[in-house]
Amino acid sequence: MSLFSKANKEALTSPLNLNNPVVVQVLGICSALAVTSQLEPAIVMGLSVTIITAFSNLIISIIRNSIPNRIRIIVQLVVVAALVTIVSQVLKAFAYDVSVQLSVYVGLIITNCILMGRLEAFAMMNKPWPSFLDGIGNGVGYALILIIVGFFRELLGSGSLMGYQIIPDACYNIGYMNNGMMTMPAMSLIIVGCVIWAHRAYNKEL
Amino acid sequence: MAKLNTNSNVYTIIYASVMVVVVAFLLAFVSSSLKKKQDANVAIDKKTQILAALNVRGIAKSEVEAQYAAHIDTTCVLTADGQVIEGADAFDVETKEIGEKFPIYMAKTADGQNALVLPVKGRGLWGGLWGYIAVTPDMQTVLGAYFNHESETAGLGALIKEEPFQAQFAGRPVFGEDGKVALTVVKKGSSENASQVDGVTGATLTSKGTGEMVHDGLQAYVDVLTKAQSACGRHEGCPRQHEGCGRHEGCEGHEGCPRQQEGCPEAAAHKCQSGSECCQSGNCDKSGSCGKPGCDGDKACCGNE
Repeated sequence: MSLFSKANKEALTSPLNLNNPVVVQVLGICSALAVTSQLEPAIVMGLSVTIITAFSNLIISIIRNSIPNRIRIIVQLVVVAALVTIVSQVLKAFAYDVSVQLSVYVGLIITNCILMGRLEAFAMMNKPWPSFLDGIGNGVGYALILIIVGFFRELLGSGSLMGYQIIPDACYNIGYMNNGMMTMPAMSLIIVGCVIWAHRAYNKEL
Repeated sequence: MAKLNTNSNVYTIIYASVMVVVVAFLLAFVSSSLKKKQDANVAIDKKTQILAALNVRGIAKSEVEAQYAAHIDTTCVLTADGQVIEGADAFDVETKEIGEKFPIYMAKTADGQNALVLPVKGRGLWGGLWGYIAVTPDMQTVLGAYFNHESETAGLGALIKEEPFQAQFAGRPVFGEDGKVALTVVKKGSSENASQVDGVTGATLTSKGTGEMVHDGLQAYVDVLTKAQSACGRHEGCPRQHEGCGRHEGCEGHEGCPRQQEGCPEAAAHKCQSGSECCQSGNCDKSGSCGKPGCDGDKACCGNE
């Protein structure tokens, strides 16, 4: 079996579009609210979830046949929590600035529905390599939506991107104002709704 | 070999126990093997924050130690009743201990002014806040400030960590007209006097928490330093204590110190008793007049021979 057989490619790419965890499966909405008021935390959160989903999928898939059915959720949770804790400890020792930024997200990552959803739905019944790809695919699919939402919220809410001012002062001088609503969590739901609308209008089969 | 029954009770319990032990050992190993490196990072981070309060910002990680040594002169730690804790370094006082212990850094700002750096702590919307406030040695004016948070909302409350918010504090008067600490944070646009700093729009509770932290924190320092001064004043003839801790102006030790009083033209001058003449040098003698140079207040030489 080749590394990138048709089924494996499917596992990697379908979450990016037709099986996107946020806009199609509607998972991970809670963290999409919390971290998207600016672009940078959205990117950081997307990256972290991608890495953690990939490796927790891999580990759970390796030990899937030994897990007692009745405590499988607890086992999954322990694996995810241990992984996140180890990663944050290593970052704290070797990339302190990143770890300070991530410390807020550690709790959000452990309880992210996408992680549990993929472990339960895919890793428990598939081989390690496809599970790993599925984890990467879902993480990137999640990150994509977060970045889209973060882009609009930061641009319209603070007039900047990645902390750099984008909308020129001249606009403010003629009366343009940042939309304070955009910095409120409720607006990210509305933007996610708009993304789902656009996505479904484009993909007729959904 | 018969296939293991992964659904049996015994298997489930053993599996859970083994998993917990393995994970516990793994985490303990990772934590203990990385602890030293993490602590070093934390110390550098804390020094960066203290330097930021002194307006020394944007320095490379490798320069932090040197800059810290260059800007921080001495430190001391006071107890809540104004006693100096001998040999304690303010840097070793953890944020959670502030309020029981009062660490004070005697330092210089980026442009060379003398300053006291006072660490404060408080509560925001989601978690703890802490900060370092640099004030002039007489505590009248803020020279700089740094704030940080555990888990305030990114893009809103988290903005207290950014320089534009903190830069507003420089130059603000600490005390109001009633002589109490007036420095605080108010809703943007509702500031009534120079001691009220604009908060962050959309982060009412974080701003309020920051305001309370600054106000209550500084008031606690003022109270402790007042106690420290009166504690010193109980010693025979002790002068006004240096703002900060235990350092006396123009005198070593306590016994026989000149009692500096208001109304003398120069800083070095003092009065031995209320209403007497201003002494230019030397300590007070036993009768409460100006002693001769070298007099330590107890010896016979202090008589007016």
